[in-house]
Amino acid sequence: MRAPAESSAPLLEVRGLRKLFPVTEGILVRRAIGEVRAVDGVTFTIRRGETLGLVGESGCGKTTTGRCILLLERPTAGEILYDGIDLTKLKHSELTPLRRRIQVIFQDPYSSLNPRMKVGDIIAEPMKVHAVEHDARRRATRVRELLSICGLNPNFADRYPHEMSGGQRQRVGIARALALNPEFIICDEAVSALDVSIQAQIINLLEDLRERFELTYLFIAHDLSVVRHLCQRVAVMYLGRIVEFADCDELFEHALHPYTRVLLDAVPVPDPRIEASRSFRPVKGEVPSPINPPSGCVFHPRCPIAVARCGRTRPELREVRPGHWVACSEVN
Amino acid sequence: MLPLLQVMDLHTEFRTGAGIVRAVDGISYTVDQGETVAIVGESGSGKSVGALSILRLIPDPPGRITRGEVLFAGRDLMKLSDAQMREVRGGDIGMIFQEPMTSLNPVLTVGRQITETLEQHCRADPAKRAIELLSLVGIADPARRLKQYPHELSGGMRQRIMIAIALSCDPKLIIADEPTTALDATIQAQILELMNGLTRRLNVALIIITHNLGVVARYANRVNVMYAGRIVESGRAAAIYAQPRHPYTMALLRSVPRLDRPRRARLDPIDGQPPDLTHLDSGCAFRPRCRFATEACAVARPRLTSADDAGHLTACVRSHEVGALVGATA
Repeated sequence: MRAPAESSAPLLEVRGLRKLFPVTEGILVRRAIGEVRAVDGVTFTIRRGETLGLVGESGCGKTTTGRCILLLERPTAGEILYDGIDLTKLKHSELTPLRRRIQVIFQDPYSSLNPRMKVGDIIAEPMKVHAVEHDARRRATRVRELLSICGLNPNFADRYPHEMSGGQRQRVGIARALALNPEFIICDEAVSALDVSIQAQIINLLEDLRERFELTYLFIAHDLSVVRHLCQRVAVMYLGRIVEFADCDELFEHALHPYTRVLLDAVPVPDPRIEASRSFRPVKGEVPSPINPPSGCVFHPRCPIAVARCGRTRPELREVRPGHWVACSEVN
Repeated sequence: MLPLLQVMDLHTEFRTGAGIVRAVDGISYTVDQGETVAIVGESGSGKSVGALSILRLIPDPPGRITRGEVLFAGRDLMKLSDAQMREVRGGDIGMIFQEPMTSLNPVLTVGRQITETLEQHCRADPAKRAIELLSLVGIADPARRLKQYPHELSGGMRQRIMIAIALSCDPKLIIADEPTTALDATIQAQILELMNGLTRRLNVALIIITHNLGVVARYANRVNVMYAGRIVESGRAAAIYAQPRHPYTMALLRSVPRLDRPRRARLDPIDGQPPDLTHLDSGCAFRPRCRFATEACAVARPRLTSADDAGHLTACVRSHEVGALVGATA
């Protein structure tokens, strides 16, 4: 049930994506004094029907990558080929039909739903904006159907978001994302704000929806256990770059990049016996500033296996095993 | 030996528009000198309110501690004057909160915030001690850092400052409320290791409030699991993870995806929604979501009772059966 067809053409192809944000100074006259390299040359593909995980810590560029695909940010450079069409070259009017096919589920079900709108109107809004359903009654029927697909009582259409729990609100966010029958959904930390018992419900719902509607997901998250559960392939990002990319099982069983290993090691396992038996040393230092990233490999100042040349040359992603890409000169 | 902290039948309620919320509804537990006790639960379970109640930091109105005793080193904190209570906070009991950006004062330098605590409580030479403290929590170049403001520091660094302040007057107990929830994985690991190392070395007891079952497994000696304002299970961490006795604890442990186990086709969530604390009936609060619930569960909220001789407590009328039932359904 999890492996998508190998042969199918990629639904999304991101090539050399870069997004720089200017750092400005001055109040009346703003001038750029530097730039934040939020995303610094990211390349990956997403196959039709798969869930691709994008993991990393805050500031690694995973959310900016997602926002660039949605064109909520204009990329500084690079191509975003969606079904063969480069989104970055399209005019606003040409984008609209494509936007129907790409939807997003945000992290915070408290701030991503308009508190003054009824749940039914929130879910119906994309249908209005894209003018896919002019008839108000049919829209209402569709809203009720979407609510029930997402495991909510159809009568919730008349409620306001504040009358619902966090898990229910996130279901509303999912129903809104499904309103236009999209084929691709970006889940940006979609389950991170939820309580443990509710998180599992939403994860199962996302999986059911993927199968039922043949969806493709880009699953952006920092929780490695959740990513391992949901994804077929995983890209690990650090300071704007992908440092490792592999099939999910391969990545979690044979992580090669020192950063991936550090990240995996930092996750405490819910079993006191295992935790008592392993010696654990957290990685030193903090994520450096993306305004002035380290030379060479951006991870080298914190890396447990760094050697002198790591500070000089930036390692490119290379395929060390079939389908397993690593940007580290010290692993083979 | 008497425990360092004894919480006895503590009740805290909030008056809200929707009615009275019994956020903490009669919790009792102890903390021994130097041990780490975890309070685990989801949002609204009362884990934070319970800890803030110990320190009498509940805003009144709308909140009120209505009943209970909190014996700390023999004194009932509930009976102290406000001035005496201020001596205890930041003195014998240190505090670390989730969001270091909001718990540090943005317009004071880090150094001023540390020396403020020191001057109020204990030390003759605050400036020197502040430098010592920053070195203790692993901050390089402490003299320079003391002159900086919180916004100039990273989240991890700010949380180190919070730990330094909590430790500044040689406390006997530190209460840490979701201390690393806002931090990234690698920084979270650093901060937890630091807290754990320091509290063990200095023999400081630690109450760590968290929703993260992995963090509990790595650091806690004992665990209290909370649901809807009450402790539903309590015991040694090893025992609770190896053999949970309460259906909620079992379900919680089963619902998380785990890196140490093979991938499952589907997760096993807890059905339903968290309880609405304004509309609790007289039965077990977990009953609507519990797969073992029977009519007996509707009669009264079960009391926390011994599940074995080793101090493992559970509040479930069917606790003696559920272990066997899980074996049958797993």
